[in-house]
Amino acid sequence: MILRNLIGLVGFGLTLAFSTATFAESKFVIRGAADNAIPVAVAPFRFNGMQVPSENLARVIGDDLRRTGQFTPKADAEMPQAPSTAAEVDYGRWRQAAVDYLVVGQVNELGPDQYEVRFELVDVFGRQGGAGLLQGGQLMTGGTNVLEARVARIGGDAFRRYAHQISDVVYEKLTGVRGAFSTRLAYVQVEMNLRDAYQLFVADYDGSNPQRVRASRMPIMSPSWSPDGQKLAYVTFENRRSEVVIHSIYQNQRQVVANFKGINGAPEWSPDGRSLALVLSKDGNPDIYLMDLASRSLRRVTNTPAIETEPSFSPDGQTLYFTSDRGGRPQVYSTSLASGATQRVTFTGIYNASPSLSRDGKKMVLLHRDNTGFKIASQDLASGQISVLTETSLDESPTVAPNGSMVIHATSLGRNRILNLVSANGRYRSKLLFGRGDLRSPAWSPFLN
Amino acid sequence: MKLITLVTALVLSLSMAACTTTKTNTGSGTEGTGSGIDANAASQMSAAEAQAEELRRLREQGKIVYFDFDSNVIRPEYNEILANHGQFLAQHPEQKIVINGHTDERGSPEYNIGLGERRAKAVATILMSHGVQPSQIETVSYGEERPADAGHSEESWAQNRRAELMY
Repeated sequence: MILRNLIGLVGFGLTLAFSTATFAESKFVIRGAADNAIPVAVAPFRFNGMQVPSENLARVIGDDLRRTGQFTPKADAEMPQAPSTAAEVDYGRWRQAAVDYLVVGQVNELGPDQYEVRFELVDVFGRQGGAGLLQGGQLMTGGTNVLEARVARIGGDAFRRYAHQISDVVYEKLTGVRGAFSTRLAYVQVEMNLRDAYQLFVADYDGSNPQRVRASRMPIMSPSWSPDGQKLAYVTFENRRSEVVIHSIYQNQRQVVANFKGINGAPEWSPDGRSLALVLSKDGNPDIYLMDLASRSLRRVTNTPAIETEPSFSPDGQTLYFTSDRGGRPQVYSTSLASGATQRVTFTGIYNASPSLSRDGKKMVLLHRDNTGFKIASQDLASGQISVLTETSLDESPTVAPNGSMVIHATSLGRNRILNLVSANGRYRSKLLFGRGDLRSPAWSPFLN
Repeated sequence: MKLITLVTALVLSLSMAACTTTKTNTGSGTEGTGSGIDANAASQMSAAEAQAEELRRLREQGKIVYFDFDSNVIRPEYNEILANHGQFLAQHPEQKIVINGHTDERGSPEYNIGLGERRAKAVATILMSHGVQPSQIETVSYGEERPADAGHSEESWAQNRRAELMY
């Protein structure tokens, strides 16, 4: 049944594909638009050598793909065979297992701490002759079914990094959208039993390889990445009042850019990296300002007696989305930086905040209160339709992957605060980081390579 | 129900403060006779000591104002305490105070920074109505970042929606 549907889908894809120049894209767009995730498998990579790698590449890749909610990677136990090259693939068995795409690979030890990693992305149903496969069950030779094949030499400490790169290649090949697995996450870890309880960390997007950037006795919050991924702007209270600092994380240099009377908060880098949107209450109550980073000059963007906060740029940098309670309750508004034209954006529910725009500018991820609590939701900007993405009820601080595919947010679990990940389509949800202390203020980096 | 509990707690803490004062005076031997501050003894104290003593008593009376959910309205039960703080600060214009505003954990941390500031400023406004100069007051909002109680219950949240008067 499923198999037949899939074959039908592929047939449909092929028909369309031949009528357009962008073969692969049309085919994959149609599959993505179906209400099912793409069935894939990442076969365990075969290892040839003595010193077994510390990381399981296939597992890292499978986890990456699964988190987008756009793929359903098969468990090892459900795989009909364990091929490590396209030539070893028994297509008939993978078709019966209803797997559309297969990643196969191997790791060859070249010398001390030197490895060669090969992988191939295989289209199980084939580009030409899906019908032929069905008739004869004849194995197709490499080329026609292999969508991508790469070889790389890496050191022993680079397995996770390279696995994420493979995931990026696979994701882009199958969806037409750039993968966001080689990105990083900044967050704050609070451990009240430590003298410097508030700690700013930077880790891989999935929480691996955490590195402490700053520790303080007083709160740190609201990290925001510069578009080049080299700096973080954030808020520190280490002088017992709020200040916005810019921290070059690889040079470990810091400078205070805002320490006005009152609130200095919610910094957000403009897409061109030249200015910082931030919140200041120096003129009486929290309003949004734009700081030109070269001259440090300020331009006031909002001017009401209400709370205005959480500025977030549209991808083109022309519009600021923000939270305001000028109508009595917090709701999301947008304002054109050129004309000043301002409009309310959210109309569902009594509490909407923390907006961030998708890369195509069509969707907005936000914090939305419904009758069961505070949830992460996605709003279609054209229709205004809100879809709740999470099942937890004390959610906050959503941050979106640079390709829009996943959202990481803070929430509570027992007495602790943890970070969860949810796919932008809401099909996948999981705990991401939890354990030591409270985890807060996640901020997803831009693309880094 | 909640109000009654709070009022009870307040009365209790006030009477305890009174006890403490009495005890201190009795215990010191040189400063009083055990029935409040003796006029002669008080006059012998330096101005600085007197001010420190007054401040200590103010702190014992209460230095935390609690708020209802999503509100920066100061409940009437705090009028007297805040009046005492206000009169003290007005009499000592060199004395500074920092008012820290806090919220519970619900909702956006950034928006909560704004709410915490509103709470701190609501307290500042009352102090100024008693003649305190704006230059004596600094308000700092920590939003939800420094909870007094780390729990996720209504009781914890009630403890966290607060403004603290820090001398």
